[in-house]
Amino acid sequence: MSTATTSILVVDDELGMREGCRKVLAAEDYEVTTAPDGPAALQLFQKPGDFAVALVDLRMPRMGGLEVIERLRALDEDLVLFVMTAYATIDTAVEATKRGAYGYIPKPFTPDELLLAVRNGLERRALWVETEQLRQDQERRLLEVAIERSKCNTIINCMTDGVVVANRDRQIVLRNAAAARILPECSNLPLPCPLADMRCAGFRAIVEEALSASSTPLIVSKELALGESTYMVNASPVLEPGGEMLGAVALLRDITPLKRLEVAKSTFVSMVAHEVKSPIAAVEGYLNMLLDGAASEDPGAARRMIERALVRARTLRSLVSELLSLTAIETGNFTFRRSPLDLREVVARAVESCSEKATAKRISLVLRQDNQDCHEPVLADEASLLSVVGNLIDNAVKYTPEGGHVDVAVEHNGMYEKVIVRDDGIGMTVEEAGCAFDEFFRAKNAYTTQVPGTGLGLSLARRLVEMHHGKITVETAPGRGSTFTVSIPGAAAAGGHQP
Amino acid sequence: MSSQSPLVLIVDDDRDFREMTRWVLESGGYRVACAADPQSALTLVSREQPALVITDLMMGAMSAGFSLSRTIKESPSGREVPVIIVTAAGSRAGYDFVPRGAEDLAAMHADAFVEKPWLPENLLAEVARLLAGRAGEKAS
Repeated sequence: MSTATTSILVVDDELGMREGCRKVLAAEDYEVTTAPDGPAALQLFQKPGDFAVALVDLRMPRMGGLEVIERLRALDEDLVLFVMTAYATIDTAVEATKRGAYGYIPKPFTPDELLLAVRNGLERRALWVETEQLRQDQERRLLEVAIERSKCNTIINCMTDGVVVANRDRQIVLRNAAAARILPECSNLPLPCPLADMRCAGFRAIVEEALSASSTPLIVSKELALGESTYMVNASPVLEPGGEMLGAVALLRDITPLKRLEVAKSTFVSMVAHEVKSPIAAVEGYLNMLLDGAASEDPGAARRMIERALVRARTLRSLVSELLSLTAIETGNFTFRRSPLDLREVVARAVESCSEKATAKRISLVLRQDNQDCHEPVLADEASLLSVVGNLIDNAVKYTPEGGHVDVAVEHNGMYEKVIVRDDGIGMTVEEAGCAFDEFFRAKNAYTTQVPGTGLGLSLARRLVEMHHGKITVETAPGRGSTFTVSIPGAAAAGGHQP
Repeated sequence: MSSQSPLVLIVDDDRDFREMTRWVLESGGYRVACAADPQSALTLVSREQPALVITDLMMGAMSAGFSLSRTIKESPSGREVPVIIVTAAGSRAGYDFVPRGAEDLAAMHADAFVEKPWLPENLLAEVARLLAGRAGEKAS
């Protein structure tokens, strides 16, 4: 039917009948092919759709018309088959229909009778084809819906957030794998299950609230603590385009790590607040006393108070700048300019900047430079390195009693350039050393309480060293001094780390 | 003991506050002993029998001052020694140590609460008030 002309096959052992039919049908622009018997007809028939109509004589040699009809029907379901016979009886008509014939044309027939039968058959065939197409369309659509639904289910099940859907009759009708994991009781209940059967009252209340929401779009957002985890539950009513409420959908997101971060953040803020408040309180205290005239008759005492206030103010200032540096590193805003540097020069400058403090405490601060030429430049940010090494030497001087020794050395060791700062000061216990690089950690003992410090220096130093793909370590024992070692990869090795 | 001026024990891990407190109290006519941590403070309480203790709150542990004042109040030599708790962390993120009344103070095992930085005259007034109260108790 899709071709412009309609092909008709005429099978009859009588030449006159074949040619008569051809003539009548060709005059109506049908394309006519004839066959003298069944086997010849079957040979002409290559594939379904080759012919729209077949007119088959009932009585033929070699193969009877009924058999031809049966075999042609098997080849093409849409073929309109007519039986032509001069021996028309009800029985043969019924038999022919059983085998797949559509109609019956008794011989002899007029050209008009033939054309009418063919036209009827073709109309019927068009209906069949259309019906078949509709059926196929529907099947395809059903398949698409099934695939779509299965895709949707797969996606919902793969979501890391829990999804629970309740209908307006307060029954849970959908839950994904994550929801079953988060609310284990939910996984045991066959769906749909009454919302009331869920033991978690907090979750029930949130879904209820979303279900009770009026037609205005509303989202219920609540935190839900389940065991050691905390979830953010966002529930909202499911509304039809018309606004009628069908149910509610709830999403459960694990916010435990965020919660932990929140606690860590507030602990950090508390510590900062305390560390900032103490020096300010001390400065304010000294100023109060001076105003009060506490040292009005003792200029020496007044000077000592001012000096102490200054020390505390400076501690506060370095605390603030260290905090800013830490924040800049955290947020990725730290200005970092790498250039090839000779570590020995940087260390010499750091030693120089600390020498005055060391002299004041009668501490011998010595820079040991081996004479080897195997030193390699490091690819580093000069200001950061200076701050790291300066901090280590400053600490060594701070935590070494008067008359002690601080030794600084630069060594080349394999791929690394190393700075070693060794003192014979108060040292640290194993526990203290374990926390030495943590924010705001300061070993508390009779000696350290005399020493101003922010508790951020080593934490900052560690981060700066790590940004250079290096490492910082400490070896120490109480009363036996500390040795801090900073290892920075040489420029050749660092090249491999460059992004 | 009556011929001497009262001895006040100052406990603070902040060197500057120890010095400032010492200065103010000495200028107020008191004798002063200092400790940088709770442990040495307890030794001094039993050995020197101070008339009053002024302790910082946060020394290492967050509430070291509370445990110190409790230990003092529970010891035979310190039962009647007034304790002033001093802190710069009166109320900080998530915590509020400022007592609202006598009940809070009793729970802290303290007789007074002073926020840092104090004004010298306020600290002296508080010390004088507590010592007078103690003298009154003894007289009655």
